[in-house]
Amino acid sequence: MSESGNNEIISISGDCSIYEIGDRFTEIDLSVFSTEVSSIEVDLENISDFDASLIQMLVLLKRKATKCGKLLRFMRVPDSVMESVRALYLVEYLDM
Amino acid sequence: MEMDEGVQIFVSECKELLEDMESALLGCEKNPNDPDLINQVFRSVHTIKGSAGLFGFEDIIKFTHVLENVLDDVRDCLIPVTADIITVFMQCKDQIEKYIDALMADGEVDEEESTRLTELLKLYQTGQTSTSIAEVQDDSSVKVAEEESQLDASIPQYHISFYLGEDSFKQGFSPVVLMNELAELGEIISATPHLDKFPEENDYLPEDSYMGWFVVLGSNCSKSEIAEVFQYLDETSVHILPPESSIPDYQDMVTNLPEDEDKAIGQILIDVGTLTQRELDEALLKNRETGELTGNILIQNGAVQPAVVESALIKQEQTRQAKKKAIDFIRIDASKLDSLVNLVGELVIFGAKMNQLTKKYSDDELGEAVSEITETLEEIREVALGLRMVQLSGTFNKFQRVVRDTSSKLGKEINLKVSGGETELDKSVIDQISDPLMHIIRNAIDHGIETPDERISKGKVSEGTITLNAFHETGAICIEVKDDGRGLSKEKILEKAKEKKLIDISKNYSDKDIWGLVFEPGFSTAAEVTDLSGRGVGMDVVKRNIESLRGHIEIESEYGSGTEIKIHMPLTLAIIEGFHVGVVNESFILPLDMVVECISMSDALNDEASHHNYIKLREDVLPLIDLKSFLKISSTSNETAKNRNIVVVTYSGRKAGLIVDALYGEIQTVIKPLGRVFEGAVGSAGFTILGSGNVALILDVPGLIQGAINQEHDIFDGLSLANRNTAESIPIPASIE
Repeated sequence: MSESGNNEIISISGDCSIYEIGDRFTEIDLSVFSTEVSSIEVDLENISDFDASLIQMLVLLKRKATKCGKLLRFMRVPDSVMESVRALYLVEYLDM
Repeated sequence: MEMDEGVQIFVSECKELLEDMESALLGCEKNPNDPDLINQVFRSVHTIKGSAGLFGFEDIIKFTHVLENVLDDVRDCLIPVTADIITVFMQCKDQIEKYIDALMADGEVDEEESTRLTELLKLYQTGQTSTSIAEVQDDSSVKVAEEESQLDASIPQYHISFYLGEDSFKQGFSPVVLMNELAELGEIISATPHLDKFPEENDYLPEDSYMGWFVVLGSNCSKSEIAEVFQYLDETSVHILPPESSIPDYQDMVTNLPEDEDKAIGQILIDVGTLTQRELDEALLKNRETGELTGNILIQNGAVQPAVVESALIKQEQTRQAKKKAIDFIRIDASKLDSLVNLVGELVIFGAKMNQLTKKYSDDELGEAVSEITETLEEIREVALGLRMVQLSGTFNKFQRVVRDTSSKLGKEINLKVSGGETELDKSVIDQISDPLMHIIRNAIDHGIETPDERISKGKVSEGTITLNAFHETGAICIEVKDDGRGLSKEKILEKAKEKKLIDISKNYSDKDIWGLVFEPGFSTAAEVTDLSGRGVGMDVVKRNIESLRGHIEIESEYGSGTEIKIHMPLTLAIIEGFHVGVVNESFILPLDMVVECISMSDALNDEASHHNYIKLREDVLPLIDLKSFLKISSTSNETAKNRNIVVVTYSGRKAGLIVDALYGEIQTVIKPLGRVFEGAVGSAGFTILGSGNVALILDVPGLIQGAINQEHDIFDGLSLANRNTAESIPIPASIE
């Protein structure tokens, strides 16, 4: 996780399937939602494996951001992830 | 040709179905969006086609098949319900009726008309333009116009809401696969995620699933097929609401289920695919726990729409009723009933004879036995006559079509309001009253009700109203036909009557006399002035027909506001309770329900009556008729009965006193027609055979009262209508002894 200007960046990478998703979740520093930054970027570039539990986690992040009044954007979304997001009719909600 | 009994049943059932079809079509015109009505039309045609199939009536099958297809499209909202298409359906109904009639009469049907209608129907089915349809309607030739794009069939939409189970992810369940499977069953029109089950991030367990979706799926699949996609999810978290657009379909499916089994509501809903077994099981469980109605639980759970449950309930009731009906009714040939009534009539006469003999031999035991028989006989008579009682509604409903067709032809807006259709009347009376009533209603449409423009200029609403009402009154039934049209102009009637030399110019006439002129033969002609035009056309025939049924017709009108015609008819033409009186040596019967009281003629009354033709009875003037002189009965001897009596009779609120010699009491009277020689004899309503074997005339009380009143008019006003001399118009059959 790094800070870039007024942006907070959250990176999610590696195996994001049901077996690992618990670890990935704990790796996310949710405190960024309490900072002064106005927008948060979530970098998904290095995701290697995933299932619907990842998509659900993305929904959680988006939901949290909306609640905290922050703009959350997903960056470098792999095609496979994008495909699932589309299949679940979440493109609009996740603003991808 | 002797018709096969099966075909006879087919014919009579078709007639009933066609009546239902017509009334539903008329209903459609008023409520084009009522799916029940078009379903009823569809069902009628469908049943006729099915039954025709049993007998192999190919023409009927072929014709109804095309009609059924178009009706099916109308049900599916692919073809809008318009006045035009209803007219075509009406014509089709008429054509089916012609096929049915041809079966009975062994006749031919105009096949060209069938072809025209079939082509017309096909044009509707392929979504042709209205112009092309109009062409076929107008010149009866089929012109296939350029095909327009078919009306888009809207795909039925399912509304599905589901949540993943908490362990779905752990179990390897993928919502992506689920969505793809759904997409394979149809088209996902929209999908919105449910986010309401997400916990706060502190409670969030990433391995658990919290998500759900609300999906609108356009699909032709059944609910069960769709439910299969969700088979791995907890049933309580999946709700599939069947397509809104096909509620009528479900309702219809429900209605069309066979009535062979008395099924529970849930089973009916499963059968039509609007409910799954699982949803039903859940609801039943709750029903057992809470005692709440299964239907209500299903609606609350969102499993089915209330309208569909409603239909299922109706279906359940219908099935039960149909079972009951099957037990309660048997179809009987009307002629069998007629011969039963005739036989009962004979029995009544023999009963009377037996009564007389018993009196003669004065044997107590015999008397007792005979009185028991007489009592039972009376009951049999009541039951036998009751068998022939038919509701007027069937006749009344026919007029809806007449009003619809005639008014649209004349460019008038007319609403026919019908009430009292449940009133029962002897079948033979109903059969014979239909034509006179039709004539009166046609007159009202044609000449009574004004055109919309004319009505508006008179400050009336553009739509005219004709009211048809029936109700029971003493021993009779009254049928009223009222319109709010132009009404009759007294001046014009009088003018016309003078022209026709029907009245004496120097005299004054009461309103009733003037209206009565309308019924005079030859009173009006086709070239009438508008204000009374046509009102008299054939009205003399109407009056004659009604009077031949022992009925009575009267008319009242207010110029500018409308006309009211009242027809009073006896309830039955067969057997009545009579009151037996004697004049000199002759016997006469008065209908008992028209007899109010009997008064013995005291000397004072005798004196009063000999001076005028009336007496004062409890502050009322009672016009009197001395039957002896009125009926011109000559007595061979100079004897005058010492104790004469007055029988007070009433009819439609009017009273008169009939002076008779003897009162013999009540008697069951079998009415026999007088025969051709005495046809049209005023004052007599038939004859009967007494127990003694003698013949007695049944007196026509309405005619007598009218006679008494006319007499009263003559005395008080010195008025008399020309051509009216009731006293001379009652012939006494020479055979009376």
